Amino acid sequence: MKKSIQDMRLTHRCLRLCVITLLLVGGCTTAPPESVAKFRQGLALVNTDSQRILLEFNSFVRDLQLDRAEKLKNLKESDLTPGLDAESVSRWNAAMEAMSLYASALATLAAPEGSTEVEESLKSLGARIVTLGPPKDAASSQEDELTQAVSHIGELIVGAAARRKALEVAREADPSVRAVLLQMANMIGSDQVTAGLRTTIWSNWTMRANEIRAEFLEPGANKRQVAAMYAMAIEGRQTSDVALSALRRALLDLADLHTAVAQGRSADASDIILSIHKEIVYAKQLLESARASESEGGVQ
Amino acid sequence: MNSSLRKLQVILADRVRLLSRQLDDVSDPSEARKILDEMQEFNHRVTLVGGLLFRQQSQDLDNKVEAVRRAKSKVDRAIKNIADLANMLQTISDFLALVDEAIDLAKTL
Repeated sequence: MKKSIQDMRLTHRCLRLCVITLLLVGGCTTAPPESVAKFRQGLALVNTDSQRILLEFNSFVRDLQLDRAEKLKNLKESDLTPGLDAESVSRWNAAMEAMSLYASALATLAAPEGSTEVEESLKSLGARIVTLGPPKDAASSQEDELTQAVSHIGELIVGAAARRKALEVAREADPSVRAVLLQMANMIGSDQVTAGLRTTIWSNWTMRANEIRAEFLEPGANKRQVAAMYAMAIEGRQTSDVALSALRRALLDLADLHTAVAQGRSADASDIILSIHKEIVYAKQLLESARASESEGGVQ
Repeated sequence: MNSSLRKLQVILADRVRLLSRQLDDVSDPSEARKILDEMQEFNHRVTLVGGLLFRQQSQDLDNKVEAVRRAKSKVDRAIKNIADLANMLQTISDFLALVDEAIDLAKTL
């Protein structure tokens, strides 16, 4: 009988704890942890892809600078200036890193069950309540269940509070996160004619294609082979542009994904991350296939 | 600055495209080489200006990233506060236990 009263007291304590904390966390919208995790995942994809594209960009530009250098009377440093200097590339990478750190912290906040600090505090919560309840000799399996239940309620409460806070921070940070991602997309360029990386790479590929095309006019040229190499250069130009365009699209999608997180929308997240994944994989496949054709065709 | 570099790159890239179109009508190899040499100089400058533009834009990016770094600090503080919330729940449970004991005591009076 005494034990039953003590169990009831514990249950009442749990219920009151619930009521108080549910009042604290309320029924507000929260940041869906799965959307935050997807934002983090999308950033990782874009980060790897962008580093590869920037490296390839510089390597291609250097190749054309060397073609030009062969015709120069003297050589200046400016003749071999990297397409994108190390400092600028480092700023790009630092921006990606800052975004990844932010996404990682937001993911921890949106799913605090994984945080060691929070987990440790929660572990002792259930046991602490029971310690204050019936004496040890009155302990039973029911008591253990109650301890677990209290701990679980604590987790729910802390989780709800954390997700609400994650939403609040994401809402506040959304304009800044969007500004960074849109700036990066802007640096890639919206097309091949309005300035940016896409314009530079398009122009360089046009140069490469025309160098090949001019060989067609040389006496004794193997016209079929030159025509095939010219076609490959034209395809290479298209492929490189599509890869940059896909990276730009992925950056814009990431901005939309963050806004979805900030508005507590989880439905859009899956579609957006799928789209980012497709864009990156498509660009990668295109570049790999272009590289394979280039080595088979022997485009120099 | 960004705007001037953008305009300049567009002009230079247009010139490369124009020269490329001129090559369509050329059948003399020496004339083609002349056009190619000119195109090479314009293309070199497209790359240089593009690099300068990217440099300028990366400086703007650096400034914008500062706000994201501040947001990250806020998230770190929020994580700490959530751990504090778990501690607060313990304090509440301690308090409720004391209330129960006080009620029990009152019942015996």
